[in-house]
Order: sequence, then C-alpha cells, then structure tokens
Amino acid sequence: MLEGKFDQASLLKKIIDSIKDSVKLCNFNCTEADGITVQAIDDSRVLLIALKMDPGCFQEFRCDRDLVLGLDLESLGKILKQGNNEDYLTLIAEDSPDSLLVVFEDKKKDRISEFSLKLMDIDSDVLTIDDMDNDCSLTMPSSEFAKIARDFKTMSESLQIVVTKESVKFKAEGQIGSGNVIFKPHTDLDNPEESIKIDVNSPVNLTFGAKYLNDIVKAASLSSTITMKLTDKAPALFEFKLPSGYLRYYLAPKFEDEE
Amino acid sequence: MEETTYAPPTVPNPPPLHTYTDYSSIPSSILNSEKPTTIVFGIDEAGRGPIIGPMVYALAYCTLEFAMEELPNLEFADSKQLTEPKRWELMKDIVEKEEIQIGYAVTSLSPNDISVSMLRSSNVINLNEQAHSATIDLIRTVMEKIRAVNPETNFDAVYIDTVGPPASYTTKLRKFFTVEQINKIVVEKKADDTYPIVSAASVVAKVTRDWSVKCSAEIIGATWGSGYPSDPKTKAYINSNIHPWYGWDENIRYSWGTAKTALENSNAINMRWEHELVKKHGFDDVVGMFNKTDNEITKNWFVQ
Repeated sequence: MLEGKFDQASLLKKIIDSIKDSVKLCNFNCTEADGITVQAIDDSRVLLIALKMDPGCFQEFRCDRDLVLGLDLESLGKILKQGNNEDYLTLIAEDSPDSLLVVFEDKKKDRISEFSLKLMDIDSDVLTIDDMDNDCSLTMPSSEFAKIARDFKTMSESLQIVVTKESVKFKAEGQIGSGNVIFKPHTDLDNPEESIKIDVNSPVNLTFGAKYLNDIVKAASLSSTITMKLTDKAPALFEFKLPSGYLRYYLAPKFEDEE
Repeated sequence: MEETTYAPPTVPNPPPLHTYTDYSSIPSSILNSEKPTTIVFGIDEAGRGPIIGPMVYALAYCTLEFAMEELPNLEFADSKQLTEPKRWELMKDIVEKEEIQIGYAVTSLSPNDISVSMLRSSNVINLNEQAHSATIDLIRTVMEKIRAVNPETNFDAVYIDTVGPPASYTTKLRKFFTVEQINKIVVEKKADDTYPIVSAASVVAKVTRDWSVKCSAEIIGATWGSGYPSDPKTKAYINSNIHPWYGWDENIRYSWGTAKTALENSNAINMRWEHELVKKHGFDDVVGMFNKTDNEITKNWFVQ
C-alpha cells in the first residue's frame, strides 16, 4: 500500500503543472526508500524529465511494496485543481491498484474531498543516468532565468548560452534583431538565492530550442534557484531543487547545421 | 491474363530489376516516307498505385494521317471498352501487323529505383517528378530517333493522360519543348478515352506492366496478384513474406505506406538511421545522447 501525504497540495500541483505540457503519460515509480520517482521523455524526444520526490517531500510516507502507477498527467492535473493550495494532499494506492485515490483535507474546516483516478498501463524504459562530468555548472535565481527564456522566445526560436570563466551570456538572434543578457558571478550574502555562481572546467557555447526552455521554466516556482550543468555535445541538465529531491530536465542542444 | 501466351517484346526475359526503355522499330509509313511526315504522340502510364512491380510509361506514335483516317476505325478508339484479352490482342497487332502503323517506346521504372529515389536522405524525387522526367525523356528520344531517319518531320501534338493537375504539367513540358518543336501539348485527365493514340499507349503500358509482374512472380514463385495494395493476394504476400533483415525481394516498392506499415507490424528489425533522428528537427535524440552504445544500428556502427 502507498500512502503519501503532502503538507501542501500546492507542491504536487506545481510539479504536475511544470511537466504536463511536455509529457502526457508517465509512470510514477513508488518505493519505500526513494519515495516517488518519474522519468519521461517528450514526444519529440528532445527533453527528458526526471522527477524525484523523496520521502522527505511528504509529511507522512509509506510504501509497503514497490508500485508503478501509470498516469495521464492531464487527468491528474484536472483532479489536482479540485483542491486548495494549502490543503493536505494524500495519494493512496492499493498493492495492485487499478486506480489512484487523491484525498484533499482542508486544514481549517472539516472538509475532506476524495477523487479516484484510473490508472493506465504505460510502456516505458527507465534510463540510468549517471552523474556526468560537466564542462560547466551555473546556479542562478530561477526567476531571472525564466524571464530570459520567456522574453527571448518572442524574438527567436533558439537561445544560445555562452559560458566563460568570467561570465554567462544568453543570446538570441531573430528576424527583428538580436539581444543578449550577460551575468557575472556574484555572491549575495543577505539573499544567498540571489547569487550567481559559475564553475567552469572548459567554456561552452550551446544553443537550445526556446520552446523547450519555456517548458522548463514552468518549474521556476518550485525553487528559487536553478542549476544548469552544461557540456559540449551532451544533454544539458536544468535542475530545480525540491524540499527533498529534485525536478531535473535533460535537454538535447540544437546541433549546428552543416549544410 | 492467364490464358494469354503472347509475350510482349517490351519485357525482356527475365524482367530487369533496373529501369529500362524499349523502342519499337519505326513504322514503315514514317521510315519510308518520300515527303516529310507529321507525327502525333500519345502517352499513358500503368502501375502508379501498386506496391509490387514497375511503373510503366508508354509513348505511342503514328502519322497524323494515320491518326485521322485509320485509328478512329480501330478498336483503340474506345479504351473504356477494352477487355483484358482484347488489350493483349491489340498489343500483338501493334507489334506484328503491318497495317497498324503505330510505333511505341516504353520506360519501365523499376520498384527498386522508385523506392531509392523516394527514400534517400537528400535529393528526394517524388513519384510525380519521376513520372515527368520519364515522359520527357521518352518524347525527346523518340523525336531524335524519328528525326534521324526523316529530318524534316513535324511533330503536331502530344496527348498525355495525367493524374495530377494538367495546367502545371503543361507549363513544365513547355519548358522542354517549344511550339516549333511540338505544335500542341495536350495534358488531360482521362485522355485515353478521348484520343485513340493515348488509348494505344495505354494498351502498351498496361500489357507491359502486367506481363512484367506476372513473369517476376513466376521467377520468385510468388502468388502476389495484381500488385495493388487493395488486392487480397497482394496484401497476403506483403504481410507474410517479410524477412526480418532484408524485408522483401526487389519487386516491392519500399517507399509505399503499405510496406512501412507491414514492416512495423511484423517481426522485422527496427532500424533507426542516425541522419533521420538528427536532421528532422535540429535536435539530437536526448536518450540517444545518453546512451551512445544503443543496440540499434546507427551509421557510426558501420563506420567504426
């Protein structure tokens, strides 16, 4: 039996909102040790999403036996809209479930709402992703990065990220013109999450699809900072930390057209 | 067709697996004419839709005089009325009878060439373009052959049966043939009903294709019917003769949707070509980037 109780329904709401536009169907893998993990790839196979909600994400968590819950995220999103952000949210599933029970409890009033969501059989292979050596790693306020991703998408289909020892530059070139934003590393002692941290082993210059970056920054509300790990000719990692666990996006860069 | 034993000379034995063109000898009314002759052409195709066998383009030609005076009285006049045995009889007449002063040229586009042109990674040539260039080459070479024996020859008209839009096709042909070279270019849907010379071309095209498909089937020992995807025999052959690695023999058009579906629904090995994964949307496959030693076949695998 699975029983996972979130202190705030908003956490799961935000997580599902951040991934449901990229992935429609996915498996929630539930284990006692790791909590709930999800790995899914978008239809174009350019973006891979890895979600890890450790037991620490939950106020209470138990999972007697390993479970795989095949979910339609759009449907789950509909159900999650039924509860208030501050409600307790509990996910309940039997040992060989055909549905997932979603329970909201209002903290002030004695109101309990229950929803049941039909499960699906979803074929998917789980890829083992080892920690990679990165050319560079970059941590910055997620809101800053979200703003750049959204603003530059209005100008261009792709966004270039150029990292050197001294700075990180976001560049967009479109039909109407071009633009760039440069950040230099700095440490804000009063508001550590406002700091910008750049670690460079070797400089990188990568281009990403603006559409995908826009999908990624939907998760900006989950964490005040975002960490990017960039390596030439490898998928880039965009990570948002959860209270315990993470939401990671692996994005294939645009390749340079040789023609 | 089963009762027919007449083997048309337009199909070599065994039928080639490559594209080829076959020409009749020039009819004596043109060859031996003392004064300059005026020629009309008719062009029709057979076997555009099938998944098995060649796509055949035939050009039939005769003198304007023969087209006006003799042809309307022959059975070519109404191609709608032509039965299968009648078509074979007429083919034999065109080839053998001295009084039928019709010459022809046939291009048989092999399934292999059609597929290769449609499936390659760059410079894809779609079926229409292949059909157009086959037609243009037929007209040009036949004109040259006739001019070689009778330099003063006039070309009055070419009548072409088309499945595509006639207007753009006419414009395209005009880029290759000026009004001085060919007076009229008439591209029409169902031209074989209207112009007996097109009907004659359709006889040559159909008989050539049918015989070619029949001979290839015999060589392989296959029962594959007409070759059209809607034919139950064809369907059965396509779905039950798949080699997991090679697919089928070279008589199959791999570029047809039916072939793709059949391969996908069978035990055929799934091949993903690196260039297909990469070129289409400008991004690499994210899983592929993690896992370079995929057990699927990639171009890299061969290079190393």
